[in-house]
Amino acid sequence: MRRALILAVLLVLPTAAYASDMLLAQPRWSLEVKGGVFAPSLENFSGYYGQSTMPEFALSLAYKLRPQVELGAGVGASWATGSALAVSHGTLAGKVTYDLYPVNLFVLLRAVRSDEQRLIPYIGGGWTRMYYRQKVQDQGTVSGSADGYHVRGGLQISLNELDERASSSMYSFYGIMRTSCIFEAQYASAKEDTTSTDLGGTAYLAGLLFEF
Amino acid sequence: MRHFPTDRTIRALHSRLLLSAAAFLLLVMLVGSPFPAEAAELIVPTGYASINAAIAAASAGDTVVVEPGTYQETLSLKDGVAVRGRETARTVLSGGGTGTIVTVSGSISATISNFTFTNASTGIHVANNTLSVDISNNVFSIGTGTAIVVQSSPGTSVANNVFSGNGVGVSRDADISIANNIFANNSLAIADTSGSSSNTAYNDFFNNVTDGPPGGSALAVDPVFVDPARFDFHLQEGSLCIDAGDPNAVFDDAIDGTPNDIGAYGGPLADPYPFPVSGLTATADPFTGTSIDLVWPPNLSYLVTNTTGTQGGYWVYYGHAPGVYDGTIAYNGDPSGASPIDVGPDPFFTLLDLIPTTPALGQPIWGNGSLRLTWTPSVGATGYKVQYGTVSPAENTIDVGNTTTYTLTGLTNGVPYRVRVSAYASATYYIAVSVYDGTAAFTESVLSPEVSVTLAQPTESGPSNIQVETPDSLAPYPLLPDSGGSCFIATAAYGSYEAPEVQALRAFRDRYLLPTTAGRRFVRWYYHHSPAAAALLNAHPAYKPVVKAALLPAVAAALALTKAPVPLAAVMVLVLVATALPAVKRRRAGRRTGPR
Repeated sequence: MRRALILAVLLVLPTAAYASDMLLAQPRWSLEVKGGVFAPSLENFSGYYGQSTMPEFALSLAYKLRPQVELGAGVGASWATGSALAVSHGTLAGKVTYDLYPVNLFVLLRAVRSDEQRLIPYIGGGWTRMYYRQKVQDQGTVSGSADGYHVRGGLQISLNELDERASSSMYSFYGIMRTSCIFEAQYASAKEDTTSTDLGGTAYLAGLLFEF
Repeated sequence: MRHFPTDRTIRALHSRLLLSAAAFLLLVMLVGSPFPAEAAELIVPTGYASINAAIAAASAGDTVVVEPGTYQETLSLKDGVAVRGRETARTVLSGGGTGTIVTVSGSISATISNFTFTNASTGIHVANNTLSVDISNNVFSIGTGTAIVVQSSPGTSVANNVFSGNGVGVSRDADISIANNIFANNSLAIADTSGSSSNTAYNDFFNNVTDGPPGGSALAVDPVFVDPARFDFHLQEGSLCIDAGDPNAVFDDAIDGTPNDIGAYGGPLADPYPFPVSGLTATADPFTGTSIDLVWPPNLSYLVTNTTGTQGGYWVYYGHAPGVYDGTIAYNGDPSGASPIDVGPDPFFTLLDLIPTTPALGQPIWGNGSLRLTWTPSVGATGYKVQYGTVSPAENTIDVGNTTTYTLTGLTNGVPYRVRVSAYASATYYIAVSVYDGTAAFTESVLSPEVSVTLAQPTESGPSNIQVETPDSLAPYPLLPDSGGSCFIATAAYGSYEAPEVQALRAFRDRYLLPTTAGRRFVRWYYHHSPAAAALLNAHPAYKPVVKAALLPAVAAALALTKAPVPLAAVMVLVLVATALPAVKRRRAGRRTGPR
């Protein structure tokens, strides 16, 4: 994971040199809609929930300080249904629903060199507050939050060059200058204070990026 | 030379056809359908509030059927309409002491049957009728008046009636048909001014002051009614009126296919229902405490009680609510004891062993501080009792009502509980009896008036099998605190987050600890270490009483400080500090001086 992050940083850094060459008419905002799977860092997650991943959906909005640098915020949701440990019987029993709602504030760097660039690597990271909710059958619900961080990196594939008329229409009707597919990996860590439980994990997401 | 129709001729023909169709439709609308309507039954009082209302609504060919009850109305029959009682003995037309109950005037065809006429000057008055009026299967007992007056109506037929307790049975001025009737205990059976009795035959005359012209094939025998005082004019076994009516097969008894019985319950139009039982008595057996003895007067109609043919019998209905005869008690262990019970021809019966069967308890399903119980339903049960305890089930008993599932709550997690269940039946029973005849149809009467009886105490089954199960709490993964945090150790010790002791500690934390920095530090430290301790406690529930004892001062202090008014709480804190300070000072002084 660390190696991947270092590689991503190396890919992105040279773009700073081309920043001054960019055209003035650039998008100011980016909106990401993405989904995928989230693999919690919890060691025995699959033993209680039957699988090692949870579905995740996320939405984020960022402001472009420069074409290559964004500041933004995002929210997500993940959930799983499993069983709990019956303390005296020592067996799994009952029904537990475990929901996570990460809230992220982030800085994102995109390796943008030109308007016609089709493949754009990006990396980012920031602060994370992980809200959790656990509903145990016949026992009620516990909820709370844990603070931590997240880092992410991915590849943005511009769709504008695939269909210029469509991209022109997107701009005409909605003001969207560039539409891209994104594929990214995200790592988060958020330890609950009192139990030191890390509610983070690794997510693999894909989605659409709209820049406007 | 052939003539072909011209256009003018064709148009004229069309016009005529259209006019004819329009005229036909207009006729149908004004007069009604040209096709005969289907005969209908008009029911009183369910369909019509009164007999008169039903007769007014009836058309020719219809039948007005009157359900059992006593009706005080003055009726005028209508052409082509039959008026029939559902049961002769229980469908009573009362004159209220005076007047004529039924009037047939003018030339109409009408039928009136299966009623009991009482308390009137005249039962039926037929006058100036050249058509047919059939009067059959009625009982006339009107007092001193005349049961039937027939004037200038030669087409009147009086068949299979009972005249008992009248001034005059039939008064006639023509040789009308009078057949298969019983005249008993009247002042005058037949008052005749016609001088001819060629159409009078097969009647029985008994104990009248004067019989009048008896006609042909007459009998003069005691009809042996079952119970005239209660208007039960069925014939008992040995009555010579049985099968003694007109032998023509068209007059055979519909109820059993034998030749006509003289009287109101013979012939093709007789009502088939046995006279209902009355006088039922029920007594709780004082010795067993689980039995009820029933006795009732027998129905002596020869169709029910006889020594030569097929006998009838009785049904016993019983249950635990008025009018609800859903008793399912195991009679001597035999499930055929479910209500109603066919008890045969004897007019007595004992409901034995009114004890529910023993339920079978399934393996309880544990929950957080709870056990969910399910058991098989018991025959005859009106409720269940659940018993449970940690050493013996007899420690606690709960009446859970009439259900086969129940959840015990408030139990201590980690402690095995022994559970069993028993069934009980309510002590009060509601009972009624009906009678059925010995014909092929086994026709059943209505139920007798209901009686109730209460046993000395509710009967209870034996206890079910004992099941052992342990309530348990669920530890989700990962084990996380609630937003406010919950007391893991106290929750584990007291078995539920909802326990008042846990709530008191939580209230204390929110009110006294969280507002201060030191308090927050303590809470953080506690939440870091307590989940592991709670898990350990849940794994070893034997230590829970010890932990509860250790927590008791804290719980008591928390309760006092959170429930008490603020000034009192402040005083308590001051007292606590004042008590603690000398001890702290002594300890410090001890440290300075060292051991002596």
